[in-house]
Amino acid sequence: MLNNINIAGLSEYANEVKEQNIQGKASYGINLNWESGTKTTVSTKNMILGEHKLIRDFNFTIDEPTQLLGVNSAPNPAEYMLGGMAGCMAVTFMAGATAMNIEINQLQLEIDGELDLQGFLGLNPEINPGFPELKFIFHVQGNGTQEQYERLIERVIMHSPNYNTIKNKVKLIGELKS
Amino acid sequence: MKKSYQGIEEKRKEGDIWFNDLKRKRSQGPTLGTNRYESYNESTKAIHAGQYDDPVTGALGTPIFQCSTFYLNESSYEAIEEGRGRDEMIYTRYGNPSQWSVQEKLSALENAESSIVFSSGMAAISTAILGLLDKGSHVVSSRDIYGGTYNFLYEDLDKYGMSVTFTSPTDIEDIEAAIQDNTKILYFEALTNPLLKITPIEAIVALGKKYNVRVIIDNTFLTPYNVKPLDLGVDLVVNSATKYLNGHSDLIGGTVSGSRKLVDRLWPQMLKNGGSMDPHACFLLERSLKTFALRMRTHNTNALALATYLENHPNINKVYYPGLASHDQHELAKSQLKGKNSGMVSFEIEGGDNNAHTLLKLLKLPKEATSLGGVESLISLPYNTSQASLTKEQQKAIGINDGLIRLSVGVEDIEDLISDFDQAIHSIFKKQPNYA
Repeated sequence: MLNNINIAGLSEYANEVKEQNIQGKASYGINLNWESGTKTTVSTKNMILGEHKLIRDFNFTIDEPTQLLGVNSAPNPAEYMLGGMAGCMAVTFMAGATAMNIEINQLQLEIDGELDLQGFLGLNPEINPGFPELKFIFHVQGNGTQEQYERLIERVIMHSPNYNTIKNKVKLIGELKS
Repeated sequence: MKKSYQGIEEKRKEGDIWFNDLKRKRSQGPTLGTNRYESYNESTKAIHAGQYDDPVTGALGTPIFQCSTFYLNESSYEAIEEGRGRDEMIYTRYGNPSQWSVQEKLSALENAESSIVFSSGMAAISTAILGLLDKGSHVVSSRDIYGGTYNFLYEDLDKYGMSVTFTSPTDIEDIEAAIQDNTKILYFEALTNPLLKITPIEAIVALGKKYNVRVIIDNTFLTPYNVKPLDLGVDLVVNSATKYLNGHSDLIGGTVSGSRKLVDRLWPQMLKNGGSMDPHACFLLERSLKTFALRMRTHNTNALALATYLENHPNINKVYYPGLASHDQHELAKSQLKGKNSGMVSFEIEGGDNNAHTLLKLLKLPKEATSLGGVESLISLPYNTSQASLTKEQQKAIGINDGLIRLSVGVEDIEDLISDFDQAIHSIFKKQPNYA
């Protein structure tokens, strides 16, 4: 299979969703539990894809570096967020490359950003606590052309769910239960 | 449509293609391109569906494609690249015309889009379960299921980080209470062994929909002749083909049928577990299936006649048969099986296991052997075969009473079967039978 991606299966799924939109509905969720200090653990909730449940029996730990009052036992929330975006961009890129019949030998993504903790610390209300910008670099080796890779990155920007969650306005609905 | 890129090669070359451009859709099969028989009745389907007549020699009937591998060509290379190897002949574990032929016949009989044949019923069952489960999944099944399936669920799921809860096969509240947050499959048998309880399929399907979980039914004891679980909304149906489907007690095999989408998901699991069916076994199964409806009609009518005879016999304490008004679930049997019932009969003989053993020795026609669904009647005692791992107390707790006998009624002449039982029971009790 080219790039070890089953493009026939993707084609079948795309056509299934074209005919039955509900099969494209994917609901996700996580539960986070504070452990101690800056350390938390996340467990993934079951997904519903179409009309059926997928069991998501995974969990991971989040921490902060010691300089930011943690014990440096795991990546921090910003790194998970960037990793989640990069993972989504990578799978979108690879599936697209396969659809374009491009064999990819190596794909690496770099994402960098700088935020100002003055926002988090409440020292300056003018400062955005989040990342004002993120830079990403695709390192690609394969049998495609420069132009094809550029088109693929345009497609990633158009279609990657996590990229678009960060790029677009998201409605965040909060609630307190105590 | 076979290829994902059909008609979009130009667009693909230009690099301006996305997933919405891909053309391949799921279709029934895989198929050898034989005629379709969906609109026909059981016997016609059983005879004609899937049969591949060789266009070169004009030989009538599917040849035995006894080969392990196939010439590779442009089309097979393309299929490998695209990941649609199930639709091409590449290697017999992946697919073989003998498999496709019998699979198409099974799909016609099950009203399924797709089927896979396996080297045994347990290969089919374990592949179907593993193929659908995710890491951390849970299965709800019944205590009464076939021992091989029970062992797989009870002894092996653990190793994969999965779990199981066993419930009653008939009590919907009990089944619903066992459903957990990580439950992925409800796995039941359409008719249980050996007490012939009927699983309320439609109620279980409704639970599946309510909790977004899949339903698998093992239909070995009833077969698609007596009930078609897929028509009732079940996701996958599995069978031990060793039993009624083949019907001649001369091969080991299994089947899975369902939507093309789900059966395609089991195919890579089958490749990894390796339980593919040999072409010669496929030939035997396909040939045997031609008489499937014919055999099932006789199994059913013989079983009802024999069950009625046994129920009226003074030395038989109890008869378990869904077609009898005395069966606990006779009303459900009438609606679910539409008067077709089953070829299996269980009964308790007066005098317990001693007399049961004697009866088996005195009978001339039914063979004392495990298994079922053959043209010859087969008879055995559950206490020392299928339920042998349980203590006497445990057996009693699930209704395996002293003297319980399980009978797979064959297609012998019913007069001969009844007179054989008559002489055997008479010899034990040394008195005249009460039937006219």
